[in-house]
Amino acid sequence: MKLGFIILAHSHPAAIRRLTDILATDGDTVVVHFDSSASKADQQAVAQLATERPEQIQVLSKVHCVWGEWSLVEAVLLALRAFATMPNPPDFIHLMSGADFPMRPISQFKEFLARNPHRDFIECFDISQKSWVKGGLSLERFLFYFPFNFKTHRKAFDRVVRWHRKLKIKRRMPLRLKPRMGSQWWTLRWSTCEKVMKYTSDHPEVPKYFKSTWIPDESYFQTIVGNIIPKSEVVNLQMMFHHLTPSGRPYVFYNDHLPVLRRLPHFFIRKVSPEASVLWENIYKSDGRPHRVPTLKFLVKARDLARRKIDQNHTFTTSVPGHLDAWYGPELRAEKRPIILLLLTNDTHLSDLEELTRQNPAFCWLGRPFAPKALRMPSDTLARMGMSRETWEVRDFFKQQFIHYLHLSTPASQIPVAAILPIEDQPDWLALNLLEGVLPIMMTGLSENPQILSRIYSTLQLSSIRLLRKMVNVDFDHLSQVFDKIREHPQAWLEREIRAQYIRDSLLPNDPETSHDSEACAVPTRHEPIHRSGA
Amino acid sequence: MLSLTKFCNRLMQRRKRRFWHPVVKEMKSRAERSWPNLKPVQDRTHLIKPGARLLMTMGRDENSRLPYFLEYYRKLGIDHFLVVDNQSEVPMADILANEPDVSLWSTDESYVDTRFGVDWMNALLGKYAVGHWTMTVDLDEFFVYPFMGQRSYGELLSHLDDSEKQSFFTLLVDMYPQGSIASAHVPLGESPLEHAPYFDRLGYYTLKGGHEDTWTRGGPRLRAFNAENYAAAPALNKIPLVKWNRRFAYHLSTHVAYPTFLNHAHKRNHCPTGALLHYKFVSSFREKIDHAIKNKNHYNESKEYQKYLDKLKRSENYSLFSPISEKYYGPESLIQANLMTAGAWK
Repeated sequence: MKLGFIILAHSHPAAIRRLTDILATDGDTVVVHFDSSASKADQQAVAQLATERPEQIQVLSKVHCVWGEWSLVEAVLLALRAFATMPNPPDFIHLMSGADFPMRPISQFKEFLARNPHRDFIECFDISQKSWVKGGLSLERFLFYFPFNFKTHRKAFDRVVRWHRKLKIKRRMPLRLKPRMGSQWWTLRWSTCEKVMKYTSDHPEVPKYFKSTWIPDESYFQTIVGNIIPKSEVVNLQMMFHHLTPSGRPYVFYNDHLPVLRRLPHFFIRKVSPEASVLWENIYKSDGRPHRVPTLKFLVKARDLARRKIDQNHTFTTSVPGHLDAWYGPELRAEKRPIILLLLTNDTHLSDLEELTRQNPAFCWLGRPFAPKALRMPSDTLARMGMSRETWEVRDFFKQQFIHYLHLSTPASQIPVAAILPIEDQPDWLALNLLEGVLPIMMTGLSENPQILSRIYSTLQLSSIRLLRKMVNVDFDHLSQVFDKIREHPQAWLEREIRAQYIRDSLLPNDPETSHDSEACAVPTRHEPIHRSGA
Repeated sequence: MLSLTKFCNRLMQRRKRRFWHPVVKEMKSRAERSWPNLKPVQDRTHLIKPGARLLMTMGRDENSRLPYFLEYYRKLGIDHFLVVDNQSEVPMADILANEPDVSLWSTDESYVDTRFGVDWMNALLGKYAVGHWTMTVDLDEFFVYPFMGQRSYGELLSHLDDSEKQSFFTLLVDMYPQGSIASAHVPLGESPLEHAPYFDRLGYYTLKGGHEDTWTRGGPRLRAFNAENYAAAPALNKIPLVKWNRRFAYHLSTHVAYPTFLNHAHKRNHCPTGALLHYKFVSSFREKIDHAIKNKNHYNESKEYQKYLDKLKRSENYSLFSPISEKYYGPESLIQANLMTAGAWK
């Protein structure tokens, strides 16, 4: 079997030399199309390759290739014509860019192609069935005229597209071709390439039409192959592994990716950094790897799995300083650990509560973190947050971040307990509301004054109804019991039903008001009498 | 034959508007004013090749930091250094004369009058750095970025080029020793990292700034010296790495650049961010404080330095170490502490 490679490149002659050293062996031929607008030194360096090995390497440098324009297709057609003039043309043509690199020895690639001699490997999607493009124009690439390049004249490009949409311009494909789209890079049989070339010269209206479509390199070969080659002979697959970033650019692979890439069964990789010397020295060697010719199905499966893994690897944290404008919503929502808020009417019992909490090693006493004009918190907790009593201004300004830090600074094995006096303190109720594990406990027995209690309720009701719905009313004497229960099942206690049942069963067994009320912990509305268990 | 596309593109090129931001205009005129005062001591700028990576720095009486600074940034991949010597007692030329990749200017202008060196920066960058990726740092700042050991500086720059970014955001991370500040003596030519390897892993606060920048304060300088008034703490957001254009200018040191899109370029498309390790808190710190207070040559008449002095006076063995300190092992420590992110550059 004889292979032909077309390399489209515009820079890095050293990388092209590396590539051709691997590809142009064993009787295979390489045609390099080097951008005509590249610097003279680079062009000479690439032309040198052809003079060194004229039998195997041919260098063309005729077209100035511009992204998204016809010139890229023209360069490929020129390279194909160069193959046609050779005395014995190859069996398969593989189109690749200068930044691609083989991931396996070429002999294995040949073995694979020898097993599939009657197939063309080209991504060619029927866009009327399924969208292939990640954002941006899809079918409209064929329907509109594109006088401006998106990269250089973005605004003009967008305006022209808008006009087309408004005027409902729809061009018709010549010869009733069905539009197909797919990646620019393919592996085709020589017979197919000949058919495409013949089709191009027989029907000059087709290239003329594609010259004014957008990104014809992703549709020209795909459309013609999809229309003239039987469907059974076309495989919607690439011999090369590549993946796009969220912003739609191909990933570049570096030295540190070597162990990951080793596991892929694909024959080529796009793109390799030209400086990643460890990667390109080692990746195409087969040292020690078991060689099995991959099936078509396996190639698809491995590609999808690898792409999914890369996507999963992206944890785009927003809490990086500088990436964020005082909005810690995602961080707060991600926090699943419970945090107990003791709502008090006055601070007379604060020391008792602290003592009670400190007796229990499963809890971490945070003091009164939202006290006005001071951080009334234990000094060790403050030190763990990198704050002092005087930094209350920071707390008031960065409320959400402060709550995030409250969680971060608590040891992982402990449940934080904070006291809040809703009359005086002004915590960010909305931020507290975002916390999944927040558990407000209303210390009802500590207040004799129902007016104060109702004021607290109305404060909460105004700011955060969800917090109110979670609220539990507990007597001071029963607090240690509640703590024990929470320690046993910290996550379960966040369930509303369990809280209600617990209070119904154990805390208030004799209370006639709540024994038949399934929602004992439910919040009394303004019209209902406020229930106080201690009274 | 000229295609329709090419014809339209050429038309557009001709009528492309030349927009100059008013702030840039003002900064440029200031830079022009201070340009004659910059006296070239050794001008090797003819050695700057197209595509070279430049570094711009300035200093006063910080000669002891120079040898390691040059070594670190040469290893990183900087091709040429542009240095401004501002009235050093021992001229920098004594050390830099034999360095082939350093161009040196000296000036007698006051640091305060030139917007803390911004005018010198804009003058030199506008003259020599147009079209180059340029780093602008102080002599005690060391640039780090994600995957630093495995991926080269050039690979970072080509990633930024690919994603059409013209600037790179970094967080200024203050480093300090475990013991007292005075005990961390850095010998000449040695890495300060070994002598001051700790940083704060928590306590950095970010808001929207007035120049579409990210207003970031925090670290030990907020915790220890500005606890009562966080707004007075020094800014930690920096844009040190810019692919310079003649329409760009620095405005407030390297914290804010104009046009303002340079200040928030990192927020879109999951761009990576880096960090500048700041080795202020080593044994030479006391010296620097005395110097700053005597000359009043820093921001807000060196008031920040007065705060440092008050704390240091209280105890000779003043240490910044605290429960939130974490040892720096490499860029991964900063990524783990969420002070830096690789974004989509994975």
